[in-house]
Amino acid sequence: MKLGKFFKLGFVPLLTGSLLATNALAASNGTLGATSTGTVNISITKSMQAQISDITDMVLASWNIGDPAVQLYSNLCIYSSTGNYKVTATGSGTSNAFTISNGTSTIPYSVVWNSGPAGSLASTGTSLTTNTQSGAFANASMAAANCGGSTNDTARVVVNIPQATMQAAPGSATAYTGTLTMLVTPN
Amino acid sequence: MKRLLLSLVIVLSFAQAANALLFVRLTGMQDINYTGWVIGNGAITSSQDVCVYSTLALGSPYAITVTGSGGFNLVSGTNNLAYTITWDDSGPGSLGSHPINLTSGVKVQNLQNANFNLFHDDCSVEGMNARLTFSITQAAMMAAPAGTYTGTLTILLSQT
Repeated sequence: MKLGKFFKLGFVPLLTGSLLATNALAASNGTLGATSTGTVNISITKSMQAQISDITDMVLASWNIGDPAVQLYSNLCIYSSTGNYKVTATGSGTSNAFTISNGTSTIPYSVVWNSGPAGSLASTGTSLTTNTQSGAFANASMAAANCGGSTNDTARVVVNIPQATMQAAPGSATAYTGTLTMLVTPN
Repeated sequence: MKRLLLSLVIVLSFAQAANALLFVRLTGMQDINYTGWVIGNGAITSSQDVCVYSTLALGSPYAITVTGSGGFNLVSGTNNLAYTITWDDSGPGSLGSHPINLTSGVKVQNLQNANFNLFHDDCSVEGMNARLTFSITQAAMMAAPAGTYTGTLTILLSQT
């Protein structure tokens, strides 16, 4: 029997940031004398910001019995004004599960995060739990919000579905689809 | 011999008294605050016009030594943010035309256009006669980790 399965994962980028307060300061003028000294206090605040971009949908047109496990990924540009960040990935299945659905059946998937650095992206990394903030990742771009182009992407999100899971899923003319939402927070 | 010594004492005393009259005063300083720099913002530039007063003579030269608390670097934890300082001594009505790049802790001499109005030593009549300009490049802001960077500038005014 030949099973035809295909699915699509959409992505929703989210941006978070916050402003920091400044200190109350007071300059001083000099007094009349052989020398005179004035002081100026300086306070510059750079806000915490993060941005995830260069996201592409992950699409597998069809899966046939005998095909290997499914592994799809999207390279991402993560900008963080601190250079570090945390990510919260959330699936669109029941209770935010990492699942895709054709309306009647579901296929679970797992999510792995690779934090680069740019130029060394791999499909291995840290497993994420849905709707749970990860530990801190490094290597985010601080030089440009768009990482200076996709060749400088700083992270990779990987979706894995074991061969056995694919084989057990009912074949369907309707695509299995779902949405993976990734919230990036500067750390 | 006694007359010679007396003359020398008188000359020295006069010189000492004259030196004591050579007073200077620096006023008009203001703090520099910038909150909420975000990616996409440009370079930061902040200028303030100040008053240099000197009893020596109208337009007499003066010297300044500007020293940053960390060199010309602001500090946030272990991170630094470099800035530059210029001093413009062009005088009232011409400020901005003669910026001089400063190095932290290095005295700059022969600056011009000090105020000599004994009754308005704050330049309230003639107008401010010097300009201090603080700058951080956009590239430096981009490269700096988020945070609040602070520091202090000390401006020492003296006679040249």
